[in-house]
Amino acid sequence: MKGDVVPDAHRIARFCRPKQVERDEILGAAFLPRVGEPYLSVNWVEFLDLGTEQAELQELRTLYGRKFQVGAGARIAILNAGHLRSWVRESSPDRRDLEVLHEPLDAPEQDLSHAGVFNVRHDDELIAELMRQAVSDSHPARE
Amino acid sequence: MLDRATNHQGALELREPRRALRPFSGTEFTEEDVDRFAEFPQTPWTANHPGTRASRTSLAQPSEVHAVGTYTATILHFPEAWVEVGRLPLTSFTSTAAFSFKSLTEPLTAYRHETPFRVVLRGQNCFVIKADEATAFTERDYLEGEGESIEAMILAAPSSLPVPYAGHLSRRLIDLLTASREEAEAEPEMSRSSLKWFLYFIRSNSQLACPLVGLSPEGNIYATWRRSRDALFSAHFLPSGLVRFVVFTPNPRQRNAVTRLSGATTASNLLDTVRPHGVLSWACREG
Repeated sequence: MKGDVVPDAHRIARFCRPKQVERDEILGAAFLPRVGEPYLSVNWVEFLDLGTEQAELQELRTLYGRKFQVGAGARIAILNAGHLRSWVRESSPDRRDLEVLHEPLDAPEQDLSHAGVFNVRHDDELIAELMRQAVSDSHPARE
Repeated sequence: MLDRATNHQGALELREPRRALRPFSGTEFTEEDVDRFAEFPQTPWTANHPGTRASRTSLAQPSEVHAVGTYTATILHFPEAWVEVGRLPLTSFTSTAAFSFKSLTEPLTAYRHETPFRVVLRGQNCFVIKADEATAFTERDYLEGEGESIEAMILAAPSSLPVPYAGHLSRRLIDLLTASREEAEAEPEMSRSSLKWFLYFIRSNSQLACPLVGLSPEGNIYATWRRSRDALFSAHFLPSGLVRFVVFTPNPRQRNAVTRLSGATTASNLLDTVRPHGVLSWACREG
């Protein structure tokens, strides 16, 4: 439900556009919210309830293919919510406390697994770089 | 050598350009002018006020004052150039009060004097452009000059950037521009102003290695130099000319500790700002 906290043991996925990836390396810019957005958009992986990593990845690829223009270099970054929060809190100069909350969307595309990383701004480049460091795995967004 | 015409106020001027290289407010200079100085890359020149020719033989000794007047000089120079402006009292030719400009970080400056004096300019790979109250220009004028499209800037990079990775960078920028245009419904295209500031930074700091380059959600250039998890320098070039940067660097005084800092400054001051944190020890090209 909207506002539910994504448990620390669960994972989130971030769609990284080709313009934020070079030579399969994800840049910190991939973790900057847009100006005016209250959170960084991610997806709650366990919410998909698909059992295997392969099925989860396929579902995310399908979802992103519906929502975005998935260019050749796009990648899906996987992060553990708890590790993300603790890493940023421990490593940031202001001990930033990120929150990862369920934010299901109905429009323009239905995205029930949609979630948001709150407490990060469009000009938080240092936090974005720490978030990038918290990525545990990444996969091509296209098969 | 460059001819100098002077107006009634004794202002230094370039001769009439034959082909504009880059237009900006009031004055144009030519590629030939650049080449003229590039002919003597190791030989400083001196231009003396007023009415004398700049001569590479008159390197160290300023000439006598020929006329008294006030004028404005604006100095533009490229990376690896230096300019020294000396202001000497009219009665003394024995010393130079030098105003040094850091050539790599302060490539443009406007310098005005209201009282009579003599200016001795010594420079290398640079030249002086006349500026008066109406046309004095700044770094912003240069970088926001009319005429160059994003595509032209990117396509010119292989020949205009003094770095061995210029071709690779140009191709990457083309890919980024293409991607940003394909996604233009969702997010803004690549920012022309941001690109200009980024290219200016690369041109001014050719010792740096090739960065990873991407775009922020707003279409601004985001560049990263990264040696390891704990050695990172990222720069987010805003259209305004401000650059927001992040540095992660190993703490030299405590093993396994990392210094993490961020800030904002201009592209012209960026490298000097991060230099004390050891960035150049791992962000420079090898060799």
